[in-house]
Amino acid sequence: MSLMQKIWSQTLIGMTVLGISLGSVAMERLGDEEMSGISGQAGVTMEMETKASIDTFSYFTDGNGIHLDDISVGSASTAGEADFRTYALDIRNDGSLDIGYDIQDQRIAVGGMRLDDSNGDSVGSFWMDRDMAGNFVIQGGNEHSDDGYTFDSEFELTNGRFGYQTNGHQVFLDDVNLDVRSVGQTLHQENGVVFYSVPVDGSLDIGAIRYAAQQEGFRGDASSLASYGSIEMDFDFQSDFEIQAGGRFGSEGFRVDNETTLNTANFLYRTRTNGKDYDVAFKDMSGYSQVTDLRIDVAPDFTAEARQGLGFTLTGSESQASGNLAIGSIELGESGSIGSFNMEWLYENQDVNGETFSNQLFLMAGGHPDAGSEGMRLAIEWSLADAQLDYTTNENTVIFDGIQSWGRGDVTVNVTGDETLNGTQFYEGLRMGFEDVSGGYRMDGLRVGKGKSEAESAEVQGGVELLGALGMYRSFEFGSLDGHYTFGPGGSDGEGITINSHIVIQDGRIGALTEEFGQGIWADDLEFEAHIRDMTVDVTAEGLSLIQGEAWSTMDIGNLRVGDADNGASFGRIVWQRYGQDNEMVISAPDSGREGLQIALTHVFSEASGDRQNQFIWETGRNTDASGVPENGTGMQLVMSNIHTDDYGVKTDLEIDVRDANDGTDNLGFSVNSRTRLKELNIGSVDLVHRPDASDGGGAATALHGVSIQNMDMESNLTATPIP
Amino acid sequence: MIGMAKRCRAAFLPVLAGLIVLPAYADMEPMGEDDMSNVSGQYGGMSLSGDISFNKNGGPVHDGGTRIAAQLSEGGGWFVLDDIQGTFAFEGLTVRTRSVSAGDFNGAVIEIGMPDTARFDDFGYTIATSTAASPGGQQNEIFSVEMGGEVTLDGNMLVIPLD
Repeated sequence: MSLMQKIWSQTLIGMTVLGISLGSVAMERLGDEEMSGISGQAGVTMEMETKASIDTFSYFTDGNGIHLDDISVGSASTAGEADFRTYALDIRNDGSLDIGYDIQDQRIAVGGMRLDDSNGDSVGSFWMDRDMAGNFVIQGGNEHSDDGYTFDSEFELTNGRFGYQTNGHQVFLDDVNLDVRSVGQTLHQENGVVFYSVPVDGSLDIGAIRYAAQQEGFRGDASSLASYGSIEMDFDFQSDFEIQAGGRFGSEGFRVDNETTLNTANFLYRTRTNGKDYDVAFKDMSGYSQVTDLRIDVAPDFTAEARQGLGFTLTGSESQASGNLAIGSIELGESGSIGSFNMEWLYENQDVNGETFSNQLFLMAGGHPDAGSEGMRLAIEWSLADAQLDYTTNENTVIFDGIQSWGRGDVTVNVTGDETLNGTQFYEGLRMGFEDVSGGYRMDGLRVGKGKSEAESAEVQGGVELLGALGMYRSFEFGSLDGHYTFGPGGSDGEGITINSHIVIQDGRIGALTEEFGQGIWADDLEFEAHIRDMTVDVTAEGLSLIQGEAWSTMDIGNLRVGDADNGASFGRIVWQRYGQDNEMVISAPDSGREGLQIALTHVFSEASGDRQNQFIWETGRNTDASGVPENGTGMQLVMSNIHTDDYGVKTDLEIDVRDANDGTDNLGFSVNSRTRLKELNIGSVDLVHRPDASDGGGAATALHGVSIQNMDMESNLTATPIP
Repeated sequence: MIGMAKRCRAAFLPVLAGLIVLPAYADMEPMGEDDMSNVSGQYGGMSLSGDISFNKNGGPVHDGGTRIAAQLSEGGGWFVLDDIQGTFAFEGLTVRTRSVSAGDFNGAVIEIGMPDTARFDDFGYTIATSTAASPGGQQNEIFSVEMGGEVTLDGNMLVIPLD
């Protein structure tokens, strides 16, 4: 036995007996043939009850530390008690070490995590409950090196819980069952690089995702707590790691390179609505992922404040992450398949608008400053240099091609309750906050063809513009994004998700009909503020259903330009103020039974209430300041006020598909069919307002004292193709 | 009144068809070779084919067409565009941006390239005045229009931004 094998043997046995979960990474249930290889061996059986604690576990790179506090191991069911474990160690005829184990009623908890400069803040606490039984077999040597190891492993984790808590609120995965088989793992090292290869075949069931308002990790029966829904998945993949010393900063840290091939996978999200289970299913998935030159350090982040964090960086000249993921079909409720998808991506450094963007993430302690001392803060920079999304229905494919995205800023994560703290309103659930995030995305356009190969060789065309009603644009950039989405438990009637949000976007720009030299139609100098209250997300028989309790927003487009985004001539300023209740969106497969995407929208335009209303303003002829920037409110305005509907609202059915263009050719096109119905839509008045905010202005004339549109049923069947 | 409406429909049919087409011609600019050379980045635009229809099978309130009513003076009557029904179909309508240099204007515009042919199927509407926004008030129909068949829509329409 080589020195490396001796060291690793002693380490692995010691870690396994101590109950640290390295063994849980990969266990193998022994089959009959393998069992036949075990005979007449003297073994050791150990039974243990464990209650242990560690005050602090620290990891340092180049003098910067991350610290796990209050680590404890004990009983999952009863606070202060011990777990129970049985280990059976045996030596097989081939000299391999067989470690069988059975862990019962165990909780492993981490009370907090912080960096050196966290100043009393903590990431929050985590815990894991489990029963777990399996085998772990260690054998010297493998196909790559006689000095390496081969591991065979299988385990079954049952009655599991994984929780995250901040400031007295927690979200946890409940009733977790994980079944993993991993036979033929190999570990060896060459020239200071550790090579670890792991094949995995398994399944994961999460019975519920729940929320509770308490400090300590939840114990006992949780079935009375509201649930976000349940998840089932199975997977078969092979992952190969190369790990070596040396981070991005200084001389210490990790470098990790990885290749993963996803052979098969299926994913299912389920909610129980009105006493019945309905699923969103991602079926027949496969893919590939490659990560090159990922560095892990504890180091200052990329901002001017140089805040300390656990950094994951892909910022080197050879750093990149690429891959693809194919989804054979997505099925929504009982509506059927909406089609198949394929995604390809490349994350690497890129220059956008004169700035260089990379891919890096720094984990820090402290979420939203008003929520309390516990929370997670992620300083993120992303750079998606090239990507495409293929969508295939009925063997016809549309490719959203040449997608780029970039940005940077802070994302905070807290678990919060319904309360106002330090002047900030929080909502029940998992809160994802955004602080001064800037970024954007853009795409070349669409390619359409009979199948993927024909689509890839087709001419790039417009057509994304037909999806504007869904908030999808050819390009969208923003100078800052602030606000939050909070995901609470429970849907409209049973399991599901309830979303509250407040988003503010400034210095935004939306592009339509854009082309390669930057010409297009631009909603420039855009400011957007949106509020959503109690929006429920459920899976129903019809599909994926989203219902907004109440929503109001203002989109203020400073200049609607044509041509160049910065200096193109402007149509003027447009303000679109929205206010509605019980707006609804249902995403499903078409009623026709064909593959395709059908989206049923109901917008109820509520009557004006306080400063909330539906209003449209078009302003032209504004004064400009000394810098030549138009001053809002100093021009002539066309104002449509108090736009409202009855409770029927405006119902729009969209069907998105790839089909014959019917333009006299055999061309396929990107097809968006819509049907809009309304019983009654009223405009309170149409006014011409003279320079309301100018020193020499004031006064309004009502052009129309009311407009009413009634009994409308409008259908449009539009197919977009390249301009000949 | 119904008979009068029918006579009006017959009389105004060709006139209205012309009114719809003429404004399009008025703002259209045939593109010669020189103009086309100024168009860059063709993939920024798109060609659209399809149809738009109103109340093919009635509406959500009744079997008639769409009604749009506007009140011109406070407490006054309503100007009504009533009973809008029918289908407008087209092939190869293009939308894109392009640069134009003509007279005092030098900049980008939105160019809507007209489809060579378009088709109206049972397209019609009624112009009227009424005492109420909703049906049920006293309504005086001024004229009605029905259109069917193909029309030629040649050329381009340029939408020019002027703040």
